[in-house]
Amino acid sequence: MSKRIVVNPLTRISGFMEVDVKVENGQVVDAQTKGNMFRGFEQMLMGRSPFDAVYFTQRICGICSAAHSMASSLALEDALNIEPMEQGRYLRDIIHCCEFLQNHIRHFYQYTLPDFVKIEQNPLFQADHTDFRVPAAATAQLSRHYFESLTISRRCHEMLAILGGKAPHNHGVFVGGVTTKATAEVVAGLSSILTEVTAFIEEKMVPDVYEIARYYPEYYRLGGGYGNLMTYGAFDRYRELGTLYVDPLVWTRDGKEPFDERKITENIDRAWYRGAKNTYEPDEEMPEPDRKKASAYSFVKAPRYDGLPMEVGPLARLILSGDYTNGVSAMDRTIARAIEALKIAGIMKTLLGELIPDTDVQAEYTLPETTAQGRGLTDTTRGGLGHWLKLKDRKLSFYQIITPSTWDFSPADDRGFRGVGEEALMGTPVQNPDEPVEIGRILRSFDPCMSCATHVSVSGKPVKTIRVF
Amino acid sequence: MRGNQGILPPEPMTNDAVAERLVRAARRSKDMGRFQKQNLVYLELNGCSGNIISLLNGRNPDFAYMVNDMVNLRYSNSLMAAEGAQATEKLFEAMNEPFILAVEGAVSLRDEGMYNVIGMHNGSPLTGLEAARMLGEKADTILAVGACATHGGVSAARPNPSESVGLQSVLPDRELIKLPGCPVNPRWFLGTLAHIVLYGKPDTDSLGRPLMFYSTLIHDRCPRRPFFDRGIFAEKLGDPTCLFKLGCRGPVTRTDCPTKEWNSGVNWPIGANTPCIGCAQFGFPDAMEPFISYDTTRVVEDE
Amino acid sequence: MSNTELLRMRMNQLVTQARYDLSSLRAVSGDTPERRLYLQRLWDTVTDMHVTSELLAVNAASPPVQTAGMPGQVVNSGNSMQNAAPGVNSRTFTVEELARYDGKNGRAAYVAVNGIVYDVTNNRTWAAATHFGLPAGKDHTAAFASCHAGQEAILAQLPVVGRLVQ
Ligand code: SF4
Repeated sequence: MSKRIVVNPLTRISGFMEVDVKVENGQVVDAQTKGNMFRGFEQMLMGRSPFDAVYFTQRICGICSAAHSMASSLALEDALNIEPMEQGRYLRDIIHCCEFLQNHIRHFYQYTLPDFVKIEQNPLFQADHTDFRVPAAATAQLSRHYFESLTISRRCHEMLAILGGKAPHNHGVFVGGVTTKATAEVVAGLSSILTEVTAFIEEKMVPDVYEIARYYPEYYRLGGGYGNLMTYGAFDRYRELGTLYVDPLVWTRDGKEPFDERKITENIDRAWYRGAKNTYEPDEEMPEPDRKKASAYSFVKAPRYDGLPMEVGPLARLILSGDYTNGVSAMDRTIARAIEALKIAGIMKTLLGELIPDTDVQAEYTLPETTAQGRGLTDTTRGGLGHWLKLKDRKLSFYQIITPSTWDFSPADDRGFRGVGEEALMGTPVQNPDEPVEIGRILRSFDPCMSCATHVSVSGKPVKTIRVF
Repeated sequence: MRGNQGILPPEPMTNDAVAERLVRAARRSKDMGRFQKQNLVYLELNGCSGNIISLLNGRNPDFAYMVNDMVNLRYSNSLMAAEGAQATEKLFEAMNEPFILAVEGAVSLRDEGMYNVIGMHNGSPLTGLEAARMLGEKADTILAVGACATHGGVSAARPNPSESVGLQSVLPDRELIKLPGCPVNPRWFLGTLAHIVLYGKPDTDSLGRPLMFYSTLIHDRCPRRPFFDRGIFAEKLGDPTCLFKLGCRGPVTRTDCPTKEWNSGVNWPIGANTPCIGCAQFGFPDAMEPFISYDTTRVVEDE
Repeated sequence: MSNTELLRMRMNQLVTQARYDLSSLRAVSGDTPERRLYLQRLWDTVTDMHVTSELLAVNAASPPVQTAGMPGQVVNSGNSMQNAAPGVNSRTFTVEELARYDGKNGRAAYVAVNGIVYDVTNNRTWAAATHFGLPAGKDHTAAFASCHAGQEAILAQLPVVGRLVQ
């Protein structure tokens, strides 16, 4: 007996997502994840001033905006042949650290916790399932931490704003590093807030994650997926400090190897695009969309590495850096996020210690008369993020963005590989098809950001209809 | 008396002063039994969900105070525990009682709204367009939160592939309170909400913006104004002088950023030595571009 | 004109403005939005006066400051410089000549409206030589008519540099 379950909207994520699964004998036998919003950033960026990309692309995502400012600054630096000063890198990476901390804390407490814990009486937390196993005393404590975490994640954004001007959508990250200087006041201010944040992660967040894991042990076996892991590198290859976190690496069945960006392709076999071929390089013009393509079911393209779907994110990074060895599952992913928060806090502390006060890292930049192209690849909160751009007549003539959530929530490709999130759902036992709580718990462990995944480019004629299924 | 509250100097000009005064007043009148918790439906449409993240950054009042003491938050895609059909049901249930509607994100018109599906109802997709119209007709008060909701914002940037528009375009007959900004500053939202809950709608200008937050040009309160007046202009980001030549939109944008700043008052874009990009001005982003230009700051001798 | 004279002129304008607002305030009764707008403006005016007086003090202490790299420019306090009436300046521009004054690489930023060429180089609403998406170096008669109908006073405040000829 097979039954179809559609969850729409999958709440407590950034953006809109629909999940469509087929259940047979109480187990998931097929799954499709679909993004439900569309804006078309790559097309909007055409013809704009190249420098504006840094602020413009941040508007792709409200929770990870600094990530896009990082990637677009890196891409511009590549195109304009600008080598940022090491101090500029430190400062920019400190801003990035603040975003990691803000994002991970909010994702765990505001997005993940309500899946497992019935937070105190408030219409906002009315849930429709009954699978809450944490005992009353612990529940009360976790509920308190839910509200306490709001102060802490706000403090993370305050740190970000001290260097970045404001958050979300900061102004500080730019070509060459940042636009502010590390004064004694800034360094002391950041350090004092960081102490507060670190204590919270250490004393509350990490124990809270393990507390939940105690009552939901089966999630160590659910939501595994392929186990192919990838990172573009994070806080890595500083001239003097070396790598503080993880180098660009991939892990497949064949073992661990260095990451090679030339192996990234995008597949459109099951995506609504009509092209002469199925596979494209990131810096190639993408074909026209075609919503009527019968074999397709998503606007999200399917990025592949060496032809393989890859999981990206905190768990992938921690395993590749050797900091975590327990395995790949929904619970491991959630635990990894908390452990990574602590690790990032440590990295930020190290970087703060390296700052030379009052260094001005900005210069006046000129655009090349001819054409140029560049790319910026970096790991951000949810995994590897890449921006590819081309300049012509001092304007942007091409822009391509592959976000972490496109890696994790891609559709299937022409070799039959499902997307990472879809694969993770396969075989999941669904206790009660009317309250399919397992599906949301597994997908949220990836921290999906559909605002990012569905920024896709569309050009040409309007598409007639988009049916959801 | 209350009309003057928190709007004009020489009231304290410290950070968060306006919002704080409003909340103090809220507490007082709650004690007097006048404080009525109202229902709030927070709808996220075609955008980046950055405004709800910005609200979480609120302080005095903070988000916890808002959901526990000011309003019953009945629907929020980013935060509610329910998911799927049950979540959508909660949205429909909320319409049976009086409610305040807050909308962030633009309304996508393309293909009858199918470019922004926010849920399922009775087995068919519920588009942002339908939801905006349906809830917009019924709501007591409507807040358009952030640039995308007030006028289309970045979601409607040229060539506007999703055919997005601001909320007013699909609710032409309703009076909206507009809170432009990309994202909205949490004080602007929470302060306006406090005003609605306590005293009803705040005074607005002819464009629907609450006067208490959007009445003064950034340029008129900017600490770098003396540099502008003396013609001393920054030539690159990071300079401590006036950012006019780099493209500062402070002279055409009305907000309280220079005095109240962002993120609990720790900093603001001009404080980060970068130009204001006019994110709270109607027309952002297209009319506020270029954000940063260097070719207007330098003098090329051999031209 | 020297900077000191300009500043004095500015100061006098501000005083006039403040007097006007004070008399308007006397006329409105009750707590109306208008009243608060007047108060708001009054506050702004006083702030401006403060800045201007500071500048005057600076000017008094040191020789006049030259505005770097802006040939022919004077200190622009932003919103109410009185200028020579149209016609005094007889310089003419073709559309092509006008296009050169795009505000880039040290060039001035000029725009034409109704056949008159104005200098917007240091006009506060023309940051980076652009104004609500419109670039300098062009004839913006149509845009002006659609956005600022009935607001010809705006033009009266801009320095005139010449006439646009076909
Ligand atoms: S930095 Fe911007 S707002 Fe401040 S004085 Fe200069 S132009 Fe005006």
